[in-house]
Amino acid sequence: MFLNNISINLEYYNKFPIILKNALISGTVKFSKSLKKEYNDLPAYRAVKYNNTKKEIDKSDFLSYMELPKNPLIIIDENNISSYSCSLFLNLDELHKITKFPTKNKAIAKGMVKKEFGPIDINNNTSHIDLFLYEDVDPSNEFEVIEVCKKNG
Amino acid sequence: MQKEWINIKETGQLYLEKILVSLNIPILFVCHNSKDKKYLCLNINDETGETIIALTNNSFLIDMLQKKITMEEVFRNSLDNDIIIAFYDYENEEIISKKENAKILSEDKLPQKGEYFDFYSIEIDEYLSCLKNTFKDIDTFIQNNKMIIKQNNNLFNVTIKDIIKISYKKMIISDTLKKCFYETTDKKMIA
Repeated sequence: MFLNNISINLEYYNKFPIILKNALISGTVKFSKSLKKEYNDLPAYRAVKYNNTKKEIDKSDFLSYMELPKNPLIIIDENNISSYSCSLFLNLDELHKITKFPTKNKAIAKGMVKKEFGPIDINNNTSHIDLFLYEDVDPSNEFEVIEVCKKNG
Repeated sequence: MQKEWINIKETGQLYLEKILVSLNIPILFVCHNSKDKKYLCLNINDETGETIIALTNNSFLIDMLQKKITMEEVFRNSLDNDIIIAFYDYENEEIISKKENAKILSEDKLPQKGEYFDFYSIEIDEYLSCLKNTFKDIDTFIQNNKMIIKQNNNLFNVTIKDIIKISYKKMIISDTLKKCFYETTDKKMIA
């Protein structure tokens, strides 16, 4: 079901973390017409933080870049809705394209994306998923590390 | 309006020119400074923002996007033989940058050896066309058995390394490097 076909209102925006909620209300960003609210469970892959001191997946692994501390070296487009999402891939090969680059302190985790987590927007060309987590959702129990990135550094 | 990125001592203010690979944030991207020097940049740590920055030119970028050279080679063949490494010191709220020799930089900081650019889109194609058009600003012709390369107006970002790849008929400039000279009065190179 496409989200633009249902009533989108403030009550719906209130389900999201405050930074996304405010950006939606102010019109800084808007959801894509291809956003899906209802969908079946999807197996997907995500790069998570992994090093000598952190080997367990936790909620912090699913934060969007907009929710992380500001860093002038990291270019974040606050007008791009993807900056407020959690990135995953349906196809592991597509994620491996990215891990050809140095990915310090990263491992790949596999898990199930569920509609209870939040709406998703899938790029069919790359199998990339923008997952917009609802406030207080923690998907970490659904994911497990399957490989440490080769260029973990 | 150009999007400003960082301002470091090695480059001055950098402006974002093109994002080549991104995963919600740019990973591999091209910047230029106010002197139109181009830099290929690679974010290698999305927590510290650690980024490696290599001086390059259109010719290398075109070759990389056309899979003639690997991504790693562009960094290793930095035009000034250096790679700038920059990261953010959260405690002191400042960007720290330093230079390292591009040839001996740890492979942990570079794209996987032997890997070609493999991220295509309409936007990348358009950028590639834009890079190629730079060479239209150069007139190349034969006169009295000599090859003349003359720059037109608004010629930016073309360095000797760009120019030596230009060919006219069967003659390639790089083959004539020891026999060419530059006429400053008429701004032309004769090979």
